[in-house]
Amino acid sequence: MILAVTGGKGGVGKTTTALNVAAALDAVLVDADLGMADLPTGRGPDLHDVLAGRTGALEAVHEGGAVTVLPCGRSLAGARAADPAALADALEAVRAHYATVVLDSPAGLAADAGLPLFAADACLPVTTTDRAALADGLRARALAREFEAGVVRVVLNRVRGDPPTDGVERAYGAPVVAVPESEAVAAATAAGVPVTARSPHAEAAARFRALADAVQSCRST
Amino acid sequence: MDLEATTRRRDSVTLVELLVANEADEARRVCVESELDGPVWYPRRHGAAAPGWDASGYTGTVPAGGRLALGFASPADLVEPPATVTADPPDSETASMTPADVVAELGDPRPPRDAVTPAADLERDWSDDTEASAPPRPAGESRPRHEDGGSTTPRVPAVPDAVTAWLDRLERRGPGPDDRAALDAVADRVAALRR
Repeated sequence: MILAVTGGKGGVGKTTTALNVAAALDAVLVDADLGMADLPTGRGPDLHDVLAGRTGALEAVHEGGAVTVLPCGRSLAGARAADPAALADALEAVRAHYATVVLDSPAGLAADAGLPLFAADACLPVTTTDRAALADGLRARALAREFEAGVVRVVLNRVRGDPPTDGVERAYGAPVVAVPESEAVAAATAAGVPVTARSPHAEAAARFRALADAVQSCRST
Repeated sequence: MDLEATTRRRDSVTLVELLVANEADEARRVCVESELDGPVWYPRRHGAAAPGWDASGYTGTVPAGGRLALGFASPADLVEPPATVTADPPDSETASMTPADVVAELGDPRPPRDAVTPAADLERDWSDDTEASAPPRPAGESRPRHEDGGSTTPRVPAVPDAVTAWLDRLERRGPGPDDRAALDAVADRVAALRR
């Protein structure tokens, strides 16, 4: 299964959501933000190299960390040389080996956001209660519908108090999972690890596990 | 696939309510098209067409044994039937798309050619620990010159308009987690210097 974590506006928490859902699903996390890599890079080839044809997709997968990751490069030259149209085939190669692939998609509605949805079987749109985030998220949801990437759950991130989940569900036409703003998530994100690993008893960790359970239920039907 | 339609005319506007019923054992894709001789005023959310709607009608999926309620308006006069439904329409435009089509339709996301310096970093040695452990450089930053004996002050070329536009687009997307971490580190250093 290929699951795209999407959402039109930057800064709503797509990368944090993708990291935590991938950890909960024991999936490979692919940093599909070709223009601005969000996940830490390390030694070895990355997605830019894969999409430029310099290496195979499996060679760019880094195991051994809290989450298995296929990172993206950070150079302009690498982004220029990478063929975004090669992303779908690269993801299929990863899926054939790892079963579940979670895509951290970029913000916006250009091809770099559309191609993960094109390749994905399902998606998790991420938004906050911010009006601009909700509006951009709905546009991303429309793009997901166009590419038939069904919405498993809408992630209403960084909520405080009593969130307007009913309104968001009506707008998106899909169930909502609200993830609270929390120090545990901030600390885990700063450390580059999933909150499910660092603070497994935190409320946010429970919500990310619930998202993973919803994804598993979706793939079994 | 059954289609029930309820219509009324009010203040020179035709209002159409539709109920699409799928009695099959599996979900089916449907295409509902207006038969009215005039524009389709489809539902909108936040200024954009509601998912599945466009100027010709609606395309979506009806669950197995389920029903789908739809509605639209039009300034055109009422005709019967006001709409038709096609189940399992021929491969939609997006179903037959290729990744190259997606890039062509949504726009190439790659940085403009003017923004790219000679690709020296593409040939890096993966066993070079110094290179791999160095913090990631902001996009476009030139490498420090260690080898030449001349001035260490790099020339600053004029920024092409295409690069400026691309950077503006990135800026509008907001900071990512690493950016925030970098900003926090800078704030900590400033606080330490002030002490």
